[in-house]
Parts: sequence; structure tokens; C-alpha cells
Amino acid sequence: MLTQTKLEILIKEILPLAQRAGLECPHIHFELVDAQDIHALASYHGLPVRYAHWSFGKTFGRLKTAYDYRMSQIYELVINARPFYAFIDRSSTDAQALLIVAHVLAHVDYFSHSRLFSTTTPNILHQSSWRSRRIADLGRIYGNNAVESLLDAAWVLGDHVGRIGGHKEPAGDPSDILGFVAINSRVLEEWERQVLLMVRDESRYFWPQRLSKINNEGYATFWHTRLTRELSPGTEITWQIAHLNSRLLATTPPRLNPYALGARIYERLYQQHGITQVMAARNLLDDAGLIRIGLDEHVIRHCRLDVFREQDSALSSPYAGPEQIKTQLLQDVEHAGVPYLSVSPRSREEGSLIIEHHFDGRDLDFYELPFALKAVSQRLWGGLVQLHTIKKGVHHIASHNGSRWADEVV
Amino acid sequence: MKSGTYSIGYGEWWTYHGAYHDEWRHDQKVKEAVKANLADLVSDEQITVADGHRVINVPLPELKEFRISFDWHHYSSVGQADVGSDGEERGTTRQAGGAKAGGSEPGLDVEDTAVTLEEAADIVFERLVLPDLDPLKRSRGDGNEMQPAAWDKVGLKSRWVRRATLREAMKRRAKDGDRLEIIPWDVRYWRYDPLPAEEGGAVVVAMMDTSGSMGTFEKYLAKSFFFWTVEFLRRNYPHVEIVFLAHDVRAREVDEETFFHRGSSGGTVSSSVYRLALDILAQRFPEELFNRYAFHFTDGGNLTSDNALALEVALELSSRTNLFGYGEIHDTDRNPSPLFQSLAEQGSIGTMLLRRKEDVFVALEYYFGKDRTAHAHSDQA
Repeated sequence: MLTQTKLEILIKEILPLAQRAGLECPHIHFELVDAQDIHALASYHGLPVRYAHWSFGKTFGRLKTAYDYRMSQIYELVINARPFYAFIDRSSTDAQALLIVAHVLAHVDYFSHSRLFSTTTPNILHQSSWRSRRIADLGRIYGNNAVESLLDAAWVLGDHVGRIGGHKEPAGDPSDILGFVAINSRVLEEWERQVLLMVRDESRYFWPQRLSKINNEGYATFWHTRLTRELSPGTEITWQIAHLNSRLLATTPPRLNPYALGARIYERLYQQHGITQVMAARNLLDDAGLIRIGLDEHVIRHCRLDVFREQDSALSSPYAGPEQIKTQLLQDVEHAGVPYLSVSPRSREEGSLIIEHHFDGRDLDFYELPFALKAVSQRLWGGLVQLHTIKKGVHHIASHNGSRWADEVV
Repeated sequence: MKSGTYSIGYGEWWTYHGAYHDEWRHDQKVKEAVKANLADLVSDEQITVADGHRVINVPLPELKEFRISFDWHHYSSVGQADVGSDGEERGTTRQAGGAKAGGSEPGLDVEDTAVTLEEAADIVFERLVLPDLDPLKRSRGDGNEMQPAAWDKVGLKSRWVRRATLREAMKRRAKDGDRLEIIPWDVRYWRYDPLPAEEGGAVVVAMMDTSGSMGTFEKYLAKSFFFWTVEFLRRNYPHVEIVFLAHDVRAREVDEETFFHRGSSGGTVSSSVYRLALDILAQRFPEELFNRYAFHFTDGGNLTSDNALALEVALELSSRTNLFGYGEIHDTDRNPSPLFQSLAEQGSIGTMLLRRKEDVFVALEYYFGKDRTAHAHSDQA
């Protein structure tokens, strides 16, 4: 069980090592919380105050259950704000805390240097609590159901909020579909536009994190391994650290463990090109970039990467070669695994929302599509919503006008 | 920037109340979804097992947060194979595990929600009531309301009865000739008994055909209907009396255990069970004290020679009950039996044909639904 005094001793042990290794350590506020709190935090993607929505509750329930059955445990959460916040499970042992603090320090260093976060707001905590209050007020004024259905629909487009670092205002970027709808919808009330823009801002805060999961976790794992190795604690502590480390790196086939893959790539970069390359990868690359420069046969073999096929594939193809694995992995992480969509310029003229899917060889899920388009049409656009895509090599126009779903072949 | 500073808190300022509320909201939505899938749920074989811990898996696609996303089920993605798997072993892993979730596949689109029998029953029973219940016919009381009934030698101090205590003391003085003095065994206390509840007293007569012609399917349906009826009554009307009657050519009253686990043999004479029901009602459940209901489930294979008599007795039973329901179970497209047809013509009898497993729920709604559309109630009103 960690106490403030105990944690302080451990921080004093590991912090100088991190500084000497060249990690930047701005002010960090550590908060020792219990397991339940850390699950709640994780369900709200780390934001201690966030507006209410049932989907957070769904995640919360799952995390609690997973924890109860000892299927998963969350040890730390770092919030990219100024000052940085690090939440640590206070039931961790001293040895575990050493590793966790080292991990946290590396995350903080990553957030401080990666170019992906150069335009990220430092005030997310204030903004989030302001939004939470505002949305709760709107719920009292317009009814919780109206707010809930609005958030449900807004989240359909929540992954399509434009290039980060590009237009801050929702105007010119065609890939900013949520922003476009918030400005141009003819049926939305002023408060509803406001909520959409809040969802958009929040999504833009999280987007760089989604693009750099493997990189960020890999970098932090790389450093906590090195820093804890420099300590010379007793056998018991060393064993505990190794134990936690192996749990973090464990894989559940066929899932990809970003800690394991990322750390292996960083380890490889360090061995081949030294610490400057490690820092350059931290500064400049997202997951796709890291994989492009760092994934080689050695990493593939070590992490036992393979291409896993669809359920009903009758063909048992030969094992994927390294090239195929790399190509496939790049496609998996590109754009955070979200299809690349944009608003067609014709939307403005025709009054309907026309979305174009920039096809990359992967079909969209036509089971979900009607529900997704229906929500956008009914709750946000109030008219025809069209999606141009390609399915099995044929140009399809999927559309919903609020009452009817259509899937036409062009 | 000044480097290397930190601060430490112990989470005192912070608890996440919102998470519990949002979790509750999600559960609520799950329940709504379960409700919408109800017909499937009731017909599930597992759910009719009287085991409170039995868990049913209900698919709930409504809870998916719909997005415009890739069809991950039909694409390969990169994942990590099992440690120590090589060569051919690697191939098996790929087939076994690869199906479910590739490396970056989003969560499952079908939420596998565990609903206990209890929860499912709550949802079903929420919509059911005993029809035409006359609340003036009181049952024996449910023990919630109490009234002083008699004096007792033990009890709570606050319920001390001064008058009775004094009387006891005086009696003792009269006998022993001492001076008047209250000693502990003079003290009397009020004893409180439960007051009859404001709920109507009611009896349900469950009649089931156990003749040889009842096949597995027919028995399954009849038992399911009665299982749910009994569960519903016990839950919503704890003091309702239930009488179980099984019949082939003869009818007899059985206990609950026998009723639900009885084999079948013999022919079918429905009038026998109606007659027995009438006798039991007349002897034990007088009309002025009880709301009376009767349900008969059969495969419709009544002896032709008995049809006229059965109709006559059924009509009498119907006139003496709030509701008489007659359910006939066919797994084929066979026409309803002559008895069914003549009962249906009467209009006062709730007749119902069950052909599929889902019809059990339809029958429950038909007889007990709060907003019954086609409920034929008795001519008593």
C-alpha cells in the first residue's frame, strides 16, 4: 500500500536517474487513488471531470468486471495537461511503484516533446470540467434525453474532426465533418451546435494520443526498463519489478500488445542507431512512422507478429512474409484504424450532407452503416445524408434521409 | 521550465460519482433492449428452468455505439501469436484465435449481456396483472399492516396494557388477599396481528392435460406457461392460492412438484377436470371471498363423446370465475379441436392457440397483460 511519504522516497530514487538520462521532467502532480477510482478515470479516458454519457458507464462496468476476474489491471494514468497529472493505484507495492513512476516520467517526456502534441491544449482539465457543467446545465434546460441523443449522434462523426495542427476553426478542412455539420446544419439549435463543437474539441485533444499509442507506450516501456535496471535494489524488489514488467509485456493472442511491440522497436533503434535516433523517433513519429522505420524482421520474429485472417476464410494461406506483415500493420494503424472520410464540396450546393470515403482497399461495415447514418440524418443534419464508398469493387451510395435507408449501386 | 518538481495527493478530493450514474444509465438501456427482445428470451429453453442462478446470454446489438467503420470481420489484421508456437502450431493458433479479434479490431459488436432469471422475470412481470381483480375480496393479509389483537404475557415494554395488568393484579389480590401490588407476572402486553391487505384474495386453478397424446412439445409449452404464471403470481401477488390439477380421463389435485414433473398416459376427458375445479372452488374458495381464475392447457385431443359435457361444464366454470382461459397447443397446422371451436364461439372464455414456443409469452400477455387487446373476460361483470 503506497502512502504519500513512501511514494516521495521512491520518486527521489528514480527521478535523478531519469534526469541524468536526458528525460525532461516538468512538474508532475501524482495522485494516489484506489482501484475503483482508476477504473472510473480510465472509462472517461483519463479526464477526472467529464460530461455524463452512458458509454462511459459501459466501459466502467467492463473494467470493473475485468478487474474482479483478475483479467486486467490499470496501474497508472497520465493526463497530458499542465501540470501533468499521474494517477497511480495506491495498492501497488513499492517495487511496482518504482517501475510505474519511471513509466510515468517517460510518458511525460513523450508528451512534452512529440510534435503530435505541439498544438494540444494545456488546459484540458479546465475545459473538460467547464464542458461537463455546461452539458449538465443543458440537460436541465432541454432534457437529458435530448442531450443524450445529441451526444450519441455526435459521436458517430467524433472520429472525423479534421487534421490536427491544421485549421483550428471548423471551416475549411473537408475532413472535419463534425465541424461542417455543426456550422452548416439547418435544423440544429444554437446550444446543439455548441455541444457538437465541444465534442469536436475534445476529440481533437484525444486524436494525437490515438495516433501514437504504440509509440508512446513503447517509449515509456523502453525507459522504465532502462531506468529500473540502473537501480540496484535487493533481490525481492528486482523480482517484483521483473514480474510486473512481464505482465505488462504479456500477450493475449491474437491481440497486439502496444507496450511489447513499441518497446521492442525502440530497443532495436537504440541498439542500431543509439540514443539520438530514439529521441528523434519520440519527437517526430506517430505509430505509422515508427513502424515504417523500425519494424524489421528481427522485431517481427521477436514479437511473433503474424497476419490474422477473417473468420470464414476457407483458405489456409502460407504464413505472411515480413513485407506483408509490415504493410498490413501500417494499414491497421493508419488514421487510427478509422476510415478516411471527407465532406464533398457539393454538400453546400445541394443541401444534403454528402460524405466521400477515400477508399484504401477495405470495405466499410454495412451492418453498422444504416444506424450510423440514421443518427446523423435524424438528430444532426435533418435531411439526406449520403456516403459514397466502394464495396466489393463497386461504387455504392449509401444514404439515409431520416426515415429511409438506401444502398444504391452506381 | 523548472524541472524535477512534483507534488503528491492521496485522492481525498476526488471521487467519481458520475461513473456510477452512467453505469446505471447503461444498465437501464440494456434492460430496455432486453425488453424489446422479449419473445426470444421467453422461448429460450434455459429460462424455464427454476434455478435462480441460471444465467441467460442475450444478444443486444442496440448497445453498440454505431460508427462509420471498417468491416473488420472480413479483413486480416496484424496480431501477436502465442509464445512458443512455431511451425504448424502457429497455423492452428491462427485459425482458432484469429477468427475472433485481430490486432486492432474494435470491441465486439454484439454485447453479450448476462441477464439472470430474476432480472428477466422482473421485465416480464412488470406488464402483467390479474385481470378484473376485485380488491374488496380480501386475502389473509401480507403481514405489512398490524393491528392489536390480544393480550400476551410477553412483549415489548412500549405495548404494556395498563388495564389488563391492573386486572391481573386485582385478580391475584382477590385470591391471595395481599395488598394491591403489581409484580412482573401481572404485566400484560398487546399482541399485534397482521391486518388483511388491501389486495384482493385470489385463487388460480391450473389445469393441465397429462394424457398420453401430450407430446414433448405440448408438455413443454403447457409447463412453461404454468411455470411463468406461478412465478408471476408468487412475485406480484404473494398470497394468491394456486391449485394444481392434472387430468387424463380422471382428474386429481396434485402438489406443485408432481404437477411440473409428471409423466403422461391415458386418454383425455376435459369435463372431469372442470368438474373437479368447480368442486374445489365451491368447497374451499367461496365466490364472495375470492377472485377466481382457471386455466386449462391441452393438446385438444378430448374424447368426442365428452365434448358436449365438457362445453357445458366449461361454461359453468367460466360463469363462476373472473376468467377462464383455455389454451390449445398444436405443433402442426392442424385445425383447432371441436371443443376449442365451440368454446371460442361462447366469447366469455379466453381461448388461445399455441403453435410456437414464443406463443407462451403471447399467452401470458393475452391473459394477464395490462393492455390486453383481445382479452375475453367472463360475463360476471
